[in-house]
Amino acid sequence: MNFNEERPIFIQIAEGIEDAILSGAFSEESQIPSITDFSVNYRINPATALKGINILVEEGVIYKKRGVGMFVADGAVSKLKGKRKEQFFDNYIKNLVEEARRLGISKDEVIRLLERGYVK
Amino acid sequence: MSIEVKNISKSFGSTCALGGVSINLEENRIYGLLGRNGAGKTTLLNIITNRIFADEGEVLVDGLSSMENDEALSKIYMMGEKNYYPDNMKIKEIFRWTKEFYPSFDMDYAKKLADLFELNLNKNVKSLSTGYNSIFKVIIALSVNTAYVLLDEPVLGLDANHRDLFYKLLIEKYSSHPATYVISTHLIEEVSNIIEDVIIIKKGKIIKNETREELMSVGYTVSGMASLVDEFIKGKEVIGTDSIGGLKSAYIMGQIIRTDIPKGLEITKMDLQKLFVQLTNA
Amino acid sequence: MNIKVATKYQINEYLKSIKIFYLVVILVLIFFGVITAVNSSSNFYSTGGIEGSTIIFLFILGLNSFKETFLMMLQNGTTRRSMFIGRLITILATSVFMAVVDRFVVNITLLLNDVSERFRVGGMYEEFFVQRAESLHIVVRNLEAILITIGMYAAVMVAGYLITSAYYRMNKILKIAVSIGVPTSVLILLPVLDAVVFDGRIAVAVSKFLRFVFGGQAGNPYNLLLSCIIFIVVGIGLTWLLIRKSVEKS
Repeated sequence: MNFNEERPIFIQIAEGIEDAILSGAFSEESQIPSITDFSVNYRINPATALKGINILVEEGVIYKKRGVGMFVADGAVSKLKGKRKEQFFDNYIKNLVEEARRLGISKDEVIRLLERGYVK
Repeated sequence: MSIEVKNISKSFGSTCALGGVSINLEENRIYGLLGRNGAGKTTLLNIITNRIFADEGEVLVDGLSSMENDEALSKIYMMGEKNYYPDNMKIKEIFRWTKEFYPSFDMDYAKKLADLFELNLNKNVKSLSTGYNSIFKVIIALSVNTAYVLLDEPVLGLDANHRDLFYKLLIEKYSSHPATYVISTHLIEEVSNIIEDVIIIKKGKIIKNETREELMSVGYTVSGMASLVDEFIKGKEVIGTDSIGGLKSAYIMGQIIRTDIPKGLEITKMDLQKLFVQLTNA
Repeated sequence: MNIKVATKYQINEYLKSIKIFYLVVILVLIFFGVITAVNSSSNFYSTGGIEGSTIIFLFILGLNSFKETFLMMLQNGTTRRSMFIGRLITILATSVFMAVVDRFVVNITLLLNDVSERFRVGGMYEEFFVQRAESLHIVVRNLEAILITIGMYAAVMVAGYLITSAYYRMNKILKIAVSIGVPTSVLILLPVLDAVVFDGRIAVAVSKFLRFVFGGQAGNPYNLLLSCIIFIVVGIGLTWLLIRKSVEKS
């Protein structure tokens, strides 16, 4: 995980764990590293790591077992996919259209480029 | 439980080093005490630890004045940039005496860290390089287990690997034995993710004292054509500007209101380092 | 309170030097002892030499008792007060210990005087107070000698401690001024002034004072002890005034 300063670190931590769940690195019902592991590994304040993980706990992606640790919830992957799909338009399409306008690329041309991307 | 610095002032001759400084260092938090060279960081830490005396004001450690008070002082360990240990003393003797003065010092842990840093315990202080001079003090600071640990330029002279090792150990230690850490440094980028609270000191005055998140949420950069930028920044708190040709960047303190950003202007967040540089420029 | 550990630390600082000092003293004594014993044309005269060297040693030890210790104490969360009290305890302990050891060594060397005419060895006490020393019972004499020696040793250590504490507080210019000024005034200016203006009355006063310190005609050692105690008390007071406001210097 590489942090940028554009957005708060705790959000980036949460996204990093989401990525790991989506990619299967952390599978459903498996234990994930502790707050200390995350903070030591990424050299961040434990309070920041906790804040990031708490977002996922609140969303029901991760659950805590008292005295044992933290686990990926059952159904976390589909939940995350749903969330990411919702964000897809805001995060990618909006920027894409904006940049296309700036460069004077027409809508048809963008669609053609998209198709090319799928072929590759 | 906290260190309360109350309205501390200190002058050296005619130069005012600290002017009415008040801060609270709360239990089990990691503070970044940031300031340019000569801003008064070390003076402040020296007053907290009874090494020098304030002209005015007082420092309370868990309610006790730290001035000439063994009980208050025993709760604090300060690792200074300057060496206070006898030149001819061997590191292992220093460890042994530290244990006498601070009974909570963990000798086994200190030896383990010395191994990790490849510090030879049979060397005396005088024969250590600048880096190892910092290292042996850092090891004590991480092993001493006091409620308050003040680190003044802890990574001075350390190479990248040792710096990284130090930050890793610091977080490990903080996770297993929480304590209040104050890291005084001008190397902001490195500690930026570790610190929870930011205290920025400029010419002897505290100009910012808030959580890192709070501070980071209010600083942003706006850039674009100079005329547009000038128009946009009217009435805003501008802490600095840069321009190249017709392009201009302005550094602004305040919440970004996404809706009123005119076309052609780009808004980016400022990182702590940039924020610091802009805030502390002459 | 950190007085206990501050004392322990400061005793430890002294211990190393004291060990080396006695090693050298013993080696020197043995060396000259053997030479005198073997070579029949040589003599071994020393009265007060052992205490004399201890006095010089303790003065230097006193001179080295502040800066390094002070910084170490600051580093270890120990107040000036605890350090100072610890130092006073250390000075007392060192004076007692060395006075006893020196007396022991003196008594051994005194035995040599019975062996041969060529040995003339004695203690400083016997040197200063000849008549009294001869008139007292050996146990009383030794106890009294130890008492007086403790006073002298503590006084020179306090003198060293006072000087080094004063130097720490001075800036460079003042240090140089004092280093040159004090000896020149005492050794040159004062005698000249005395001769030209005061008609030698200062010299008379000084010699009168010294005669009192050394017990006058009767050779009363308690005058010396009293002088030492007064000096120690004043010295301790002045040193504390200097130390209580001492700060680390960058």
